[in-house]
Amino acid sequence: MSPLLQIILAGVGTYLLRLSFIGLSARLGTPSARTEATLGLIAPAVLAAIIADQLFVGDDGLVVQWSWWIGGVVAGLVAWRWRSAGITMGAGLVCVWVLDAVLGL
Amino acid sequence: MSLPEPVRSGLRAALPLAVTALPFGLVYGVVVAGSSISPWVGLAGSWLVLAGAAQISLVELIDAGAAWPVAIGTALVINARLALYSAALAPAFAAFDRRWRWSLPYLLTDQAAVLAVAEYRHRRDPVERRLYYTAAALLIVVFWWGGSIVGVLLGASLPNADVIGFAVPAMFLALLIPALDSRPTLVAAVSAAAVAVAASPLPSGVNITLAALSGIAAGRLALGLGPSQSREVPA
Repeated sequence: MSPLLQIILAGVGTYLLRLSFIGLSARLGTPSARTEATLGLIAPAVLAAIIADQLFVGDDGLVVQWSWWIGGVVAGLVAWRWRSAGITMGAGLVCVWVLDAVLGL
Repeated sequence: MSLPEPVRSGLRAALPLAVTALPFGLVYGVVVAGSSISPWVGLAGSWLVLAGAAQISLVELIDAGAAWPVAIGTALVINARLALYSAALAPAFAAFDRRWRWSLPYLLTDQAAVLAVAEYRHRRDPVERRLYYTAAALLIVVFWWGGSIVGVLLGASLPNADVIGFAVPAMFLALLIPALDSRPTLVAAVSAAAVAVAASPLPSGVNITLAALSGIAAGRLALGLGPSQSREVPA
């Protein structure tokens, strides 16, 4: 199968994943309070899973990358203190750059 | 003529996240440039799939000669989390016209979903919700497309990809930390992170989906254990 066709099929499948519950939403009715509370847990759970995967997991299993780990702690603290996406990412990137490019960590 | 307030709010909230989509797009473009796949076909992925990690995986597997069910299946497993976001937004999107319910999910990304979920706690009008989401999601997608194009053009000449790559977890941290506003959300996040690492031997993407589902289950248990249910959720 050609690369373009594979990308098209992956695109169609991904769109259907995005559409799934939203497409059915008009038929699902009003969710209960407990269901709503559960839906509120989705974003924190997915984001934490992605972050942990990126910081600790590589192609061949667990990885040691001190600059990213320290950068992650710094970015997390900055996000908690300032609640700003721009400041958080800026602080994290500068930290990793210093550790990685300057200190060679 | 000024833009409607929800559009301006959406653009303002999404801008720092959209800026981060740029280096992520750069990384994808570099992967395409280093593969045997035509740059035009690779860039088509940014239009058709519109999901960075899955696109990178797809290009790498196609380039490595993997069987097409493996390449496509892996991309879809990585993107399975988008169905969870779809569930989180479904109650709010139910108030939209059918044409919006079917078209706007195309723009659904991690960043757009998290912004919308947070905004919908206090913004109740369906039209305002739709405008906010559309503006934010579109800005993020435009930056993603731009980054992909520049990445393909620059290719391997891109400086220090390791540092640039950290923009992605930093962006997700910027989204996660403000969302940890109750004990159940904290339990969900910590549990999900632990399972993602513990399940790392599983194929790429499977560990993330499993971890997310485990985190939601743990958070749901915490919902029933104590009085800490102060958060409001989108309706």
